Amino acid sequence: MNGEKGQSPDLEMYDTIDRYVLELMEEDERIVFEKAMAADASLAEQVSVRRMVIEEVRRKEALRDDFLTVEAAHPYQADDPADSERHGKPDQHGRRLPAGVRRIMYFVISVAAAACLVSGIFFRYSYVSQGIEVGNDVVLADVIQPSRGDSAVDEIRKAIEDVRYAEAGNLIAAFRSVPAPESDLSTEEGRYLYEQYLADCMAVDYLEAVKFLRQGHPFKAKRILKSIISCDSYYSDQATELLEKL
Amino acid sequence: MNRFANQFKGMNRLSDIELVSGIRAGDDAVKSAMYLQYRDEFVRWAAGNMDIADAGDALTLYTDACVVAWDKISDGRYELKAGVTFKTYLFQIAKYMGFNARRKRKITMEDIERYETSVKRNDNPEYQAPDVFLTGTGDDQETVRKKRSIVKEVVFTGMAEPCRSIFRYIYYEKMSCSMVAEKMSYSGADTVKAQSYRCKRKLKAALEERFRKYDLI
Repeated sequence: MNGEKGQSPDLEMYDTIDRYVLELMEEDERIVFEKAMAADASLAEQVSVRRMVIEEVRRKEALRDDFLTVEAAHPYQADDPADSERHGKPDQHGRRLPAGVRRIMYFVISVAAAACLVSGIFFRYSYVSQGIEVGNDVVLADVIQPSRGDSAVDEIRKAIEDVRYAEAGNLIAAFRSVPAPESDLSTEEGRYLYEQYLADCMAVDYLEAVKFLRQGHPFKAKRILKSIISCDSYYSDQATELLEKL
Repeated sequence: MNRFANQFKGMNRLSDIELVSGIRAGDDAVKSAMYLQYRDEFVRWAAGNMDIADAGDALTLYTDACVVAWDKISDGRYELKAGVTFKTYLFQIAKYMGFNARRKRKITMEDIERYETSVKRNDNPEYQAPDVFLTGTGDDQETVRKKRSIVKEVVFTGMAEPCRSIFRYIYYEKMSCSMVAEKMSYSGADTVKAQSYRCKRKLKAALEERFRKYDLI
């Protein structure tokens, strides 16, 4: 950076100072310049600060090179799957949750899930208990009048009242497996038998619902009770009453 | 396999106290550990918090922040503070540098010329503009130390491109202007000289601003 004709005095001075600090001057030029510095304190100080600046640039850049050497030895791998596994997939903005935040998040989710499970167990238990109590409060003999003879409905009712729920279930299944009796609907007797059969079907449905309540299956009972109501069964009022109690 | 352990090849993660002690001692092993310890996390953090999607840009910023952090700690300009981890300190430096770069905080040549004219006080021939570089016999050691500290602050962090690169090539890599022109795709050596001159004037203006702020002139 030799001084050139046409350069501003300032630029020339910058150049001269730089050349001196960087030891680019010829011997005779350096001697002349040092004499000028000795005679001009301001010039000497400019040189001093310039030297300070250059030393600082060199020091910082050397430090930067040290870190770049580390980077070269252990290059950053953006697509390392372990990195993704450790920190999770980034979102659409390339963000991943820090490990600590993820741990806290997982902990909160686990606690919430456990709380839901415990709450669910608690509420289910209380609901089941309530269903049993409601079922036991039903006096079956008042709802379904006993017939004069032992009909299938009477046997089912007695089995439920005697807490023989498994037998009651078998009887219910047996009843439903038998096809409807053939009735001549053109006759009065035929129509009576058919209506009696329908009444028995409705009674069995209601008995099954009560059985489920007493057994601790309130949801099964609820399904049957809703069905009874929707069919406008003979026992719709009783079914509605039970649902309201649940 | 633990990728972290693989990175460090047997080195353990250093605590803040160990990092600061090692930096003050100039331990090169600590330099490597410090750089690698927070690098990956910084790249992810920069993507999410500074909108720096390119890993290369994030690494450049991270490297510069490491330089500044190392420099400040090694010469005692930073002490560990309660509630502020080394990681937080490092990331804050990077955030500040990135923010400054994005603001494109530049002193234009018009600003510099306006400043230099105001300092010369052309309307008063007897006025002697104070030379900010006059550390002379009147300045005590404390003033000299403060000025040197300001030079440390301004150089590197206070300079924008292309000045940082030009200073690096000329003063550190000792390139000629022709070589710098080729490196930086300038038209020729004269262009590099002109740009270098502008950079020196900008640096001088930046130093003067800081010296005045701290009543050093």
